[in-house]
Amino acid sequence: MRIDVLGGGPAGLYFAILMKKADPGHEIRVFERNAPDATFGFGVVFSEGSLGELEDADYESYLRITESFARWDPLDVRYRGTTTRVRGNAYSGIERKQLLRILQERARGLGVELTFHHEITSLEPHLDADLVVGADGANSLTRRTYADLLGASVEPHPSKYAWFGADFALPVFTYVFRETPWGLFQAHCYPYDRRRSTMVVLVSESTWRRAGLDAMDEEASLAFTQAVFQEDLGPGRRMISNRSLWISFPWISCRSWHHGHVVLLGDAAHTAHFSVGAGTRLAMEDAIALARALVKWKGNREAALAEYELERQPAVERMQEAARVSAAYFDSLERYLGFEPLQFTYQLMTRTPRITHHNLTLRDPEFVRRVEARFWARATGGEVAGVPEARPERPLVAPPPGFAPLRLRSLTLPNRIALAPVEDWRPAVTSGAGLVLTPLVAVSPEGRVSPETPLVGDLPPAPAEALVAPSIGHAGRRGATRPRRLGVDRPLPAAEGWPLVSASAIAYAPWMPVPAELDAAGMERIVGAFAAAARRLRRLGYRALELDLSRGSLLASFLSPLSNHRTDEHGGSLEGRLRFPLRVLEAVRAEWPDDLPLAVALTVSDLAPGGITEEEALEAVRRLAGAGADLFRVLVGQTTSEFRPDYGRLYGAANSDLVRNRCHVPTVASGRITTLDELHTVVAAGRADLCVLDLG
Amino acid sequence: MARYADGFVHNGGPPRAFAAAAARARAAWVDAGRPGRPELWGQAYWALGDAAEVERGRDELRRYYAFAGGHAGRIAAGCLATPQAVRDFVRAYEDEGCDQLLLFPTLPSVEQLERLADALGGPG
Repeated sequence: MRIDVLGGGPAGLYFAILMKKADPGHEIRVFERNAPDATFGFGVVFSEGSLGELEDADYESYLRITESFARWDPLDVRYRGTTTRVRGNAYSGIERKQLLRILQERARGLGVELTFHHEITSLEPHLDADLVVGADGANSLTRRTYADLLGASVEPHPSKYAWFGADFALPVFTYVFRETPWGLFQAHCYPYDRRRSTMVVLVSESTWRRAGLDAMDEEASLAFTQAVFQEDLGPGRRMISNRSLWISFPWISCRSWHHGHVVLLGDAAHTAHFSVGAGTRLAMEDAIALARALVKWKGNREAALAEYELERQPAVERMQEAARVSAAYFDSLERYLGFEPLQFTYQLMTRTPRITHHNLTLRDPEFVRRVEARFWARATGGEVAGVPEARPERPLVAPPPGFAPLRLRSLTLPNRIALAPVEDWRPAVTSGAGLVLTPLVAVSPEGRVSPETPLVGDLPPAPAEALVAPSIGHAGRRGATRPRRLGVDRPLPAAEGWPLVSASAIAYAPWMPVPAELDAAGMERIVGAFAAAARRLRRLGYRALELDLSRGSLLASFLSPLSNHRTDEHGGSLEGRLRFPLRVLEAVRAEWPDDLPLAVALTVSDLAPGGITEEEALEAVRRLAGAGADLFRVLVGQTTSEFRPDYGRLYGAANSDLVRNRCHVPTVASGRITTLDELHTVVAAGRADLCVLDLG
Repeated sequence: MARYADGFVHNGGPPRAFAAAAARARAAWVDAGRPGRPELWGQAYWALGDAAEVERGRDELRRYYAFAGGHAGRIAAGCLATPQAVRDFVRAYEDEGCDQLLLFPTLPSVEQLERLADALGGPG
């Protein structure tokens, strides 16, 4: 087989090595634009898990690579004058130049033909090979040549970053967070040999502009950045620039990784944000998978390329999904700057759903014990078993965060577990959960979802076994439907239904009836019904209450510009749209005892174009909190039937995090939190105060 | 799915892909406020026999899915081709909560069905 590999980075070289090893009869040429020893980006990082594959694929290069490694196990987080260390993160760094040198020598030794200083300007001269491998990096000419056929997309990430080096070896992987007058500067740093480190510096675009970095040349930008981090570098130590330009990370993905006999490897096909440190590893794993498939399928090139994609695409997509979450975390980090160092570090470690409380406990039990003790101390008022503060030097034993109490007004919930059954909530009362949220309880017959929706008058006296918060509301334009076990938003036959009301005369879905716009008299009636509901629940002995302002119900329909087109004082700006929901909240609060908590279920994103904006939703939270809401169940979607949900892992936690840490109010997260381990993680990281556990 | 249907039929693929889709389906169900859980179905193609027989099965898939371009090769590559692969696949789908698994033959012969029965009905 005659193979042309375009690009002499780790992916291309490694693939050439594996193919030549499999069959020395293959004629393999590698073309590289740069000199053999030219490279940019200083060091690369590998996680321990990725090394096994290299060991199996080519033991000889594996040995040489691992001999050159700088290895570390702890990770340091420098934040507000403190350094917090977390152990159990087995990582290795290697100078990129050294990695390439090893791979070049191995390839040459096996008889691969390497050509340097060879700029590829067209694929044409290579297309007569039996296989053309585009290992030509993020800016791949190969991908660009077939962009349409491959379904390629390139999206720049909004923040700015640059690769620098430092002229000394940090002891371990270190995250540095520096607050400056221009905004937050972050550096993700790791040693790659005994004398030098890589420093990836990350700033938001606005910080980058405020600092004037957009107008600086390479030298000025190096001097500026070094000054920012001088204290962390240590006196006299320097940062190094090597074409260290500020760029936006390109997110690259391709629907297909091959076209005919041309196939993509590594960054040419896909990228995952550098903050997960997986680029080189993914590229080399691609090389392994492609070589393996070609060996397995011998002459059947098409089958081999199909199998390569089949094997690699899911793995890469998972990593890209984690990388998106990780990148979003580093972008939104300024909201955590008030956290204590322990919780700040915990939040950083668990930024993607791949690392949970349990997982972190296996990595560094002592760190997690300190987190648990500190969390318990804060939840209980500072005392752990008679010892003030959980001091780092004396880690104590405390229950995991999900089992810490939560104080809301005069109540103390025994734990952070909430259940929100969709049908009968009564069995949940004996579950041990700290809070049971009922399905919608209608404040009036017209406010029911279906004929089976309970009215406030149907509720039994408050059970003694658990804290139950009836979720009172009015279904609005999503009312008069069949019971949800028969499907959702299926209207009742006209004869069995009842007239619907909403903020405006706009149907929830094209197949649903158009509601009437709620008029002034209707508003009065509804405010009265909510107040009466609160009074009655108090008499029944309930000690918590939730007001439903979510998922397209009547009050929520006022809040979203998608469902509220009113031109009176109840429409238009957020101020107008919030007026009626606020009035209802005030009326309920007035009936609800001062010492008891009132929760609000709030849709903070419509997941549809033209919906409520993030800043509006946050402002609504602040206003509702100001009017006496103590706890926010943060929900998304279902403002209109056209909403576009993404039910990824822990999908609801991100919005809970946003509300909690931007508005400083207690929140309840929900959405695919299915294990206690996930619940502990969300709570300990300060992403929510309570979680609705989804028991499936 | 959560609005109208009784469940979700996955379009085939490795158990991990089914598991990911099933988890999303359950989440959509809960989010919609629907009681109970969605019915979850999976499916796979298979061809059992010697290498030539298996290749005939794969060829059939490539022919059938020719309209789908490069996708045809991926579907053919996913065809279960050994009794062990079939057993592992069934067990993994079971573990991921699949309620019904449809195993589509790629070759029209009773022998194929007998081989499938052997593969699944063997000891234990």
